[in-house]
Amino acid sequence: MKGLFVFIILCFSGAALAHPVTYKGGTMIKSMFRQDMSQNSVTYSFHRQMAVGAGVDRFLAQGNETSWGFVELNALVKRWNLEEAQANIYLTSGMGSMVQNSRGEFAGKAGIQADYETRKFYTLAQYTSWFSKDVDMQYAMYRVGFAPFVAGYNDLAIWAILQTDYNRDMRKNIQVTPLLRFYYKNILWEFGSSIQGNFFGQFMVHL
Amino acid sequence: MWKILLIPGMIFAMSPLAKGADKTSAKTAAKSASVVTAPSAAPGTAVAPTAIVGVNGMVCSFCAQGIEKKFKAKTEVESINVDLDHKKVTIHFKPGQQLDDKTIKEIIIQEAGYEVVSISRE
Repeated sequence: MKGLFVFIILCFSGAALAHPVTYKGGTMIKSMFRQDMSQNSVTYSFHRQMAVGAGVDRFLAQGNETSWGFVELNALVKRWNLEEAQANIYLTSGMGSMVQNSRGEFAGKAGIQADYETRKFYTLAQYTSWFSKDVDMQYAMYRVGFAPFVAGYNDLAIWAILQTDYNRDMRKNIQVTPLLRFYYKNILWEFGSSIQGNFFGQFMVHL
Repeated sequence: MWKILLIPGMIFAMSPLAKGADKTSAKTAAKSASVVTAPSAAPGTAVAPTAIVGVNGMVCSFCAQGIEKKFKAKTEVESINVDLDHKKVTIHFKPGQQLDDKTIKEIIIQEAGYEVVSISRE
């Protein structure tokens, strides 16, 4: 019962180191939620630089809800393994369908992500485009974070992150979201709220 | 609509997989060379060798879980210790068993995606 309670708390809080490709044979479950946007996906890395998966993205823009379902293919294009840091460039893509007002159409998405991380500092930039015959949406996100203390391999890690993101179809303004990230072993979650009051939560687990 | 088909195709075409960069990971070769007989011990003593691997890029425990998972799946491995402070992975083998350097490198580089800088034995 206690385990179930912890699991529910984790699911409804948040996550996101968000590496679209993990390690060969690794499965990643990811769930992100905010008031006007949610993303849920499962990906499997069949190679250390390639992953396939399936996901559902939902957006609420100007009173219209769109739901996107995809089969995804992600690639780690380049990784730098440094003595005190790691940096990555990823490409993400998806093919599937978009449903709006009970009407579906063929859709796709494509994105690029770059990140750099040490044990104390973290930054990430991401750009994603969703497109179908009638809808074309762009989303840009930038993050910078720091760890107030350096956690060991078996410790709970805590990070403070500032996220800024922009989607011209959903909001007029850039959303600025301070958030906290926690990770322990193979589980990671994040939660916060934008200064406009938009809750953000994300959960991720590596299996 | 052309973008929908073009972009995943481009990602695959650009990937190292399509370029055949993973040929070095030859699974069968690794399997055939994966077990090294441990040095013979004095009569009556059990040999439980250890490999200490220096690894670059290991900055996050959440991401480094793959290293632990991969080594734990090997029957030769008794336990593993990941030390982010000293950037080292210590592999404790079962008595009389080991993995050779090639296999250790394949797990950390080809499967987990990190860089091996040194391997020493105790």
